[in-house]
Amino acid sequence: MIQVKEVTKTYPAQKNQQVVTALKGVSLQIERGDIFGIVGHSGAGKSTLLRLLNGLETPSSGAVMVDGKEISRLASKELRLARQKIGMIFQHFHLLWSRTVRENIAFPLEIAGKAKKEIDEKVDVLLKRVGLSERADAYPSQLSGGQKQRVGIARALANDPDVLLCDEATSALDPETTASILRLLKEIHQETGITLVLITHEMSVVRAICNKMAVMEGGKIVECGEVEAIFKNPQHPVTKQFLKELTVSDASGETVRPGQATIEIKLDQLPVLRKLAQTRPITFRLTGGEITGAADGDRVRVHVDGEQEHVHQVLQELNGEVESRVE
Amino acid sequence: MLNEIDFNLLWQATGETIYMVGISTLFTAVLGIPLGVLLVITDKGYFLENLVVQRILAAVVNVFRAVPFIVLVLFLFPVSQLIVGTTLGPTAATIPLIAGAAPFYARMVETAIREIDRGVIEASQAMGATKMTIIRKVLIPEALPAIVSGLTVTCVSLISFSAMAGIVGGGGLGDAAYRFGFQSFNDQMLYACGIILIILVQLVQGVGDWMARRLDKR
Repeated sequence: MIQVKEVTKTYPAQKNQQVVTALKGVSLQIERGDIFGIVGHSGAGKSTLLRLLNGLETPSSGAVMVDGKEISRLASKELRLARQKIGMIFQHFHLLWSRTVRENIAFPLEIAGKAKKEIDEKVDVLLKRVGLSERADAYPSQLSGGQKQRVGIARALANDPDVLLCDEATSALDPETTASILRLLKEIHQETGITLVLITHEMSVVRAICNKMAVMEGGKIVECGEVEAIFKNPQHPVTKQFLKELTVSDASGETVRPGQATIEIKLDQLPVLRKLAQTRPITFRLTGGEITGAADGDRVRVHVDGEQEHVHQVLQELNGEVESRVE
Repeated sequence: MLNEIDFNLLWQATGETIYMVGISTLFTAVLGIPLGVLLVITDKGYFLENLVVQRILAAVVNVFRAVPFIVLVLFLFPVSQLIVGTTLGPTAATIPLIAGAAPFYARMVETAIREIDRGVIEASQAMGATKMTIIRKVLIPEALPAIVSGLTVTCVSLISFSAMAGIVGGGGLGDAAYRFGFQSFNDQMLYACGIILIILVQLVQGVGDWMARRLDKR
């Protein structure tokens, strides 16, 4: 369905800056019906790669084929037609706020030059599919993030595309909403057999819906294959690191014996804890947490082990800094 | 008490002002909106990028904005003569009014359109929209509240400019206030003209604000 062959993308030098190379000889094969996840940190080139697939970016060298058409070589009119068969959804939804939900979903159909009646019928079907029939005449500003993304999905599906590109589609959503959007995408995949390509920095998203994945770092694909195989046996350090992040924030439900404690403290209190551990026969171990750079400081979950008396003392010393204690 | 006001003259002057401001607001919009759109879409990173055209347009706009209005009126006497056939009367006055207001308004339209999230434009391109569709169905509708409120501000400026243009032969309330009020030692006439100008400004601002609010769905 999608072939990316030896694609390099460089951006010309700006003032006082060097040439930026976003992609360095990337090759990729995505089969029809795949749910393909591309994982990487920001700046790894995943966004550029995704934008090559619908011609929003053109490769500096190499070729991009989608459904037998070389996207990178199409004349502008053919490219516009090809794009109607490649849907795209975005992290920040990119809806037209001056249009209602119904009118937003109708927009790609207007672009495709469909008749009014056909548009109305199709929009009704799409509204129903994403569960927003009730909100058809609302404006985007009146919707929640999850609802906005549903509008985005309905809009992307309007012209019955063969491919749906998802650009960090759940990154602006809370975990619960993320789950419901991923569920919706999975259902749509099952119903239509659409090929999904999604980029994300969250391994949990890949684990939730993808069957194949690629890991990107520094403009290259460093690991690529079946999701199951990679999760079982990651090869590249970056992949391992991504998987580690996943297990850290997942580890919980530690059983606590007397004399042990699991506490939550602020990330910047870790050195204090470490100092305490040097003066007393206790050990501690990080069991959970996420580094998000939150303004008021990230919290981490720490498991403290040792003699009951010592653990108790440490907790006393840390008193005031302990956010909560998990018994 | 109002015995010194010549109401016939006053109504005629009001009519002339409304005519001048109406015509020039219309043409300011007709010229300013496309010019504002062009200033954005020919700029770097937009879909009709052409920096030569962008810089030339920006320079022309700046020249017109730099010249004080009263000087612009004098500069454009020959142009009025050429287009309208005279330099006197309200119709002739619309030429410098449009020339003064359109570049000013174009900058407002430009700012309004730059406010639109680039991602929305990218999303439209990803749907296969043509450039014209993006302009007509994305840029203008998304910026419309600001385009309307910008036109309101411009129209209010045009009312005060028209009073100035009036003094150098354009007619209207400015002319009436000056000739039949100030120069004729007729204070009542002078203030009457001023009051009508104030009422006009309030009306325009009120209607413009109401429209912009109605259009804003953010």
